[in-house]
Amino acid sequence: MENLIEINQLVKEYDRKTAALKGIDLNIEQASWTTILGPSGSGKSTLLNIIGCLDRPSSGSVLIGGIEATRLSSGKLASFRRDNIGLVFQQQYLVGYLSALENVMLAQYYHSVVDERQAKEALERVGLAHRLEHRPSQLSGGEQQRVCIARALINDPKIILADEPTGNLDRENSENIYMLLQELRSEGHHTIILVTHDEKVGKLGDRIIKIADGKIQSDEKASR
Amino acid sequence: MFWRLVLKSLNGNKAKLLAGFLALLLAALLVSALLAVVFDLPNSLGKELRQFGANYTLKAGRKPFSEESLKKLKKKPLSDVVLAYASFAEIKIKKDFKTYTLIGTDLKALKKISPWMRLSSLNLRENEVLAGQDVAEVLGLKKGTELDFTSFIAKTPKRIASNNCISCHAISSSPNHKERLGKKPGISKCLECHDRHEVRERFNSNLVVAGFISGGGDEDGQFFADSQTVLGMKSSAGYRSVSLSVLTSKMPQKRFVGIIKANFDGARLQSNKQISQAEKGLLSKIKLLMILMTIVVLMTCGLSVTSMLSGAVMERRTEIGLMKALGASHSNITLLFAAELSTIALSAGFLGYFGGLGLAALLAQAVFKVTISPSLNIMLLSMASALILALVASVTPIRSALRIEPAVTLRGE
Repeated sequence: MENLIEINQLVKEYDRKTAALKGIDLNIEQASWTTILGPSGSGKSTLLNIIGCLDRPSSGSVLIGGIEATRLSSGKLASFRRDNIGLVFQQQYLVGYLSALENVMLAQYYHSVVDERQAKEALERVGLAHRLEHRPSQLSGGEQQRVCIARALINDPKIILADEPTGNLDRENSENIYMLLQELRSEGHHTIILVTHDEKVGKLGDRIIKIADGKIQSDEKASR
Repeated sequence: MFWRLVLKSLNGNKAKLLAGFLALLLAALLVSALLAVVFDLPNSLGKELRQFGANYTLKAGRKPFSEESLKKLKKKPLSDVVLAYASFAEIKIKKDFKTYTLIGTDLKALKKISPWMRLSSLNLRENEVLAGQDVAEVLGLKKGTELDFTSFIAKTPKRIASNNCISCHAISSSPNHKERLGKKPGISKCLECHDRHEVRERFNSNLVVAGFISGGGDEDGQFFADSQTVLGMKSSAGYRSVSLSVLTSKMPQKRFVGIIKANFDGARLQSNKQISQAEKGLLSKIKLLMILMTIVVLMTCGLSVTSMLSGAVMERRTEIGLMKALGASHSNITLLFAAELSTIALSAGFLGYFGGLGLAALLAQAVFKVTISPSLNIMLLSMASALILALVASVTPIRSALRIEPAVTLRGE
């Protein structure tokens, strides 16, 4: 299958002594599920942030759909991010004063046009049809994370980046989130990159990349 | 969605924004109060300064002012600016070969335009006068002293058959002289000094000193009587001058002069330059002081707003980082903050105006004893100053909001 993301010699240094990524080479196929595994501080979230256009590398290149993301200006990078990438974080980052529905609509607003019906459908899809007008503080952690997934999906991005999406959730909620991601995977037009330190989660995807100390330690197919 | 976001954000962050709102409210309140006082200052201070005397004198042309013509000063549009006036009729009177001026005026009106003057009495009877302090001292006058004034022509005279020479002051009562001169007044040769001899009828006035007047000016050397007393004397030429206490701030000077000219034909209007210059100087100094105070207030409140907003940006950095991660551009973030602040500033400006009006009313009442009326201009200025202050004070906090890196803010590790 065609590569959607091509990463070459990616280096991220915070100062001369601290390097989070030390020359990463990585290709990610379109409509695949790649799991990046690694211990805390291994550089996996830094890699995800750079792929998600939230951060810039110190050197190296990141080609996404043929576009060199590292050379885009801040404004174009923000525009590229909202058009192509859906982000799900470990913490359930939601705007506290907006309802679940409005949090999803916020992503639409920054992307293009607000469509309340579509936003409702996205929340219905993650099983939150009955929680549309609830504020984040009125939702459980799992429900909040499902709002985040609905928000990540609302603009139909090519790439979904999930950074430890179940890190703060109990087992039941975690399973619900992974089921949701698997549903997306089965639709066949989202490329999912998931960062986790849980090896069991890796088995849900197509490929497992292990990172340690800013370098790729192994790159193998997931065994189901 | 934008205004929905702004309103929800204002509602959701009200605790964080409350300090800013209060700082802007205080700024708007003080600015409104100071501006209300500054705008009203020419009127209130003008009225106050009128305590220091009339600022205009209207002098009659060939024709003296009649009671009827002076009533125009009490009618619009002149009544809007003429706070008070006193009209003066005067005649020359002689005592011990010295000429004095007897002023006929409404003593109550005189007291109104010259409140510093000390008058023993404001109600004089027909034959009563107030003697100026200096003249009373020179002539040794006491209350109740009957004056043997010699007026050139008096109303109810006690005729004295004598004529006097302008040069040597010799009084001729010689029958021959009288025969030669005839009974008609005129000028002839003095029998004593052979110079001009003025033939005038002299009469006793029988005026009584009812009290004294002092003010430190010309009035100390004059006599004052009720207008009717003087107007009743044959030699009186009517009201020759009027002192006006004019609130110059209410009408442009050109218009005022024009109206006076139109209503008082041939009259000359003179301004008391000393008073008007002092008034102008004092007004500009007080205005400058008030404006400087307003600037200091705005700067202080601006710093408070900057500090509050910086704190709010710090507290909302995750929210800002998230918005940026979702694709919010710099202009999206700037607009959101600007809209939030503008809403707060306009509300603070609106409410601050009413608070300021109350404060200004208290100040004006306490200092100038005047009332201040509501003004749409000040309301708009109050709202505009709060808005400008908020936007200027938000430059640094918004810039720091734009520097927030979503990758750093939303780091999950």
